[in-house]
Amino acid sequence: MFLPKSLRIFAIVSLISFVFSSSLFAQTIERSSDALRISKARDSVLPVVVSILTVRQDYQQGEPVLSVSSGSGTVISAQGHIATNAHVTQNGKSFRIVFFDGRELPAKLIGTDTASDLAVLQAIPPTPETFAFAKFADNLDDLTPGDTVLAMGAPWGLSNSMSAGVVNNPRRLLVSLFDDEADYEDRLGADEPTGRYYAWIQHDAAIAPGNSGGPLVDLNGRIVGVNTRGMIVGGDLAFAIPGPDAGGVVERLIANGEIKRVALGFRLRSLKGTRYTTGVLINTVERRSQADKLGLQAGDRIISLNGEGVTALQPIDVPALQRRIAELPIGSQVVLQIERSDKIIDVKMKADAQPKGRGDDLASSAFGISVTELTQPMGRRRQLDDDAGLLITGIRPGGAAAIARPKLEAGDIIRKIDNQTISDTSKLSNIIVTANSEKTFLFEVERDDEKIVSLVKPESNDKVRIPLPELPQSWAGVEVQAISSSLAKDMKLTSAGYRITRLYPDSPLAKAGAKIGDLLVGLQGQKLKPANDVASEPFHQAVRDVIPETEVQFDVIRNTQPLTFKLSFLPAPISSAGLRTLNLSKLRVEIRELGFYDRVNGHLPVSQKGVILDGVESGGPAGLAHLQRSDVIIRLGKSDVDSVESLRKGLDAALVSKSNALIPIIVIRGSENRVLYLDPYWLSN
Amino acid sequence: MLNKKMLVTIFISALVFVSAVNAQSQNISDYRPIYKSMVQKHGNAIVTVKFVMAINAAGKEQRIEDRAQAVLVSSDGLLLVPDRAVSFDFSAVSGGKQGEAGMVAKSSEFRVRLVDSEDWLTADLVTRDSALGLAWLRIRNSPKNLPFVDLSLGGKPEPGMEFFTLLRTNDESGSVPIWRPGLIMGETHVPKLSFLVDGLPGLAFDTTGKPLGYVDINLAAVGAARSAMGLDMANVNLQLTPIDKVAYATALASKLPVAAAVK
Repeated sequence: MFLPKSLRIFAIVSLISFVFSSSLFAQTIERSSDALRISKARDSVLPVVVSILTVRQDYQQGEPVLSVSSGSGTVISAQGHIATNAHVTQNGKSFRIVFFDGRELPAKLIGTDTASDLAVLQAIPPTPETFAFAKFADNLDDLTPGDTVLAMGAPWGLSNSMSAGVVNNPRRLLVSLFDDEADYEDRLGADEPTGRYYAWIQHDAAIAPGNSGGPLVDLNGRIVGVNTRGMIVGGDLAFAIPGPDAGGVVERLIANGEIKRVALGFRLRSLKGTRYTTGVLINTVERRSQADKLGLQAGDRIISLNGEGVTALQPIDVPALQRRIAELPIGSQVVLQIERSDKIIDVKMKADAQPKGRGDDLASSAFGISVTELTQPMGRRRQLDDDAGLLITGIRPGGAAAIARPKLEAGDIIRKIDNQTISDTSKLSNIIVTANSEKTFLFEVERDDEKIVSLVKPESNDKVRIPLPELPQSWAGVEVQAISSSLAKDMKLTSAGYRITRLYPDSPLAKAGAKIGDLLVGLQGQKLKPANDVASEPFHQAVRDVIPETEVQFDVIRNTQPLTFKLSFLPAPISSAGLRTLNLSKLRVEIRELGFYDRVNGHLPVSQKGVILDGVESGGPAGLAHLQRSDVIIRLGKSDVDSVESLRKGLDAALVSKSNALIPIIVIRGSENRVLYLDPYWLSN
Repeated sequence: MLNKKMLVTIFISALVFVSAVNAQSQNISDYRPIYKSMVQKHGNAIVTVKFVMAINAAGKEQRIEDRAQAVLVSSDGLLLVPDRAVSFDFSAVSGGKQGEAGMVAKSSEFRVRLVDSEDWLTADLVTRDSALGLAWLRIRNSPKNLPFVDLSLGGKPEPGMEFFTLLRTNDESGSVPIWRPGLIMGETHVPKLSFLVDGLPGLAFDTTGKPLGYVDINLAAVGAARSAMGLDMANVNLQLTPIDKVAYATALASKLPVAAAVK
């Protein structure tokens, strides 16, 4: 059929419009369908996602340090169990859970499994209650690249956050094209490797520090993973522990508080790059392990495990085999069929329990050290002959160990103290109880294969603070600007001198009637003549050269009129270094008397009372109450604070009430008075 | 890549080298009698002091162990040390006003090792004079009749004089006395009377063994004296505080008790 040109154009335009609008319509339906699914998935999981505040205790310079960190988690039982990452609860001293509705509850640690980087906390409600919860997906067989997933949690501590992305790879081993797979396990962590038993879900839903432990949710509302790792630099690369694996681990943690696994003393690598198509290679054999003793060698090919064939063609297949071995019944007999130099060998082994990766930590202020109990893996990595001992992880500068004869060092292994074998932290604790400055202790330590003895004298005066006094110096109580002769001439002033730019309240010159703008031209009959336009220090030195409280006379010019001021210099106000400080361990703060310059710089009245915070430990009760360095505390609870002692007494008085009510603290911060609240929970935990 | 800081460092290093060469080229051709006499006279009064310097960072003390030279200035254990071994005011190097409410590192746990002793004796802070850059410690339960330098018997420093700084090496180097010649290169009254010298920090003696003054680095002056390609080296030097000022302050300090601790 022939159509006029105008009609043909109309028809084509109409057709294009129809196709385009049809496509838009289809996309709109699809988008609204996706939006619906996202909102359904969100509503099924987000209300049971929690934020976790952890007060961590780490060790620095031989002393415990408290800090606060945050993570995410999911309520997974009606009893308030919360699944999260082990690195969120690591070194945790106390925990606080923030629920979707903003409610906060303390929590206790039920169990932790560093090998899988999973842990379980349990919320402690004031009265028994039933919690809403979600479950992990049973399998991920249908999870494929491109599937939309939602990351929920508290990135950077911002709770109830959700981001969306797609699955990049549902089975990811953290080995790039450029890496040797054999290095993979070495990168998982030194003394506590994690992630050995599963492949990760790689996705690009945005996560940040604070998302750790939070759920990864698919559009069916299933928890398909636990967000654990991310790359801050280099784009949105996030890694989650697969939900089914996580679900199994947390179930066992809730039941037993720990997960015991088997270790046979070797590690595996895939057949990639070899001519083999079945089996898996032994990658490393640990020295002194059962495998070593039985003669297993790196390069042996395992063909079967307890009669069942095993094969790992690619590195991604290895974690599942590692897990299969790790989950053998402890104490059971294991039969490995091995191929070596074209010969088949049967090796019978016993499924030994995997030893603890890292031992307990302890710090001793008396000895000025922090230590970690050695474990078998730690000993093996350090190539030690004996795994019983304490590894010194930190030395307090100036502390007993630092000035021992000879001094102890981080990395030393304590084997004996006073001829008593020290195999664990409890042995050291028993000795610490008897330590006093009247006694010396003979430490036997191992350092670089040498056995060294050292005499250590414990210290008891750990937290002594000495203010730094100064010899009294004369002080006029002004800041000045140098006006040299040439500058004076150009400014049409009658004389050179020092122009008062700031007058401190109640200072000798202020009391004598000086004003800002007055030109100080002479002192005790000597001309005050600046050498240049910039240096005011010679004026202060001229004042300091006069003995304090001596009567002096200043020659002054005010608006061309000569004046004289007679006055006595006062001793200079005490600098901050000379003021008394106190390390208040209950609050984990260092406080200092309020000094003259604090008042001046803070524009506070001379009569202002209070104490100033010189330092606040972020994970301590004061840090958690959001107190900051330079805050001036003027009231705590019902007590006014006017000295370091009064703050201590005020705190004791507030704690006596035992009501567990928040303790208000009034501080001066900048130009404001601010109220902050100290939570007795943190003081007692 | 070279930057301004590196250039300054190179030039200061060059200055130190040139200073050493200059000092060695003075008129005295044989220093042995002076060395012998000075070590005999004052060597045992020069000791080393160890301490721990701490600064509060984010509520937690960061501590470092350090040591400095000290001079016994009384027979009952009063020690003269540079103030920087006792406190370090960061405002001094950042251009702020010292002694106000800035960040200050403070030292504690002073320990002194006397000559021919293996024990590190505890010492307590007595007082300090931040304007002079000096501080005083007192040995706790000090032995009596200790060798000391009598600061009241000092000489008069003048530009052009040669002086000697007496020091003691650390244990690892045998704890032996050493000296280093220096030259008084000039005199200034700004901001106070002091002599501009090369040499090493410490108590300076003249050729007869009379103390001349205390040599130390003026951090604020060094900070202000930076010059890169201009090569203005006139301000890169140490300062010698005349001995009469040191002696006067020491006399005041000797009458004071040790600073009280706060627990």
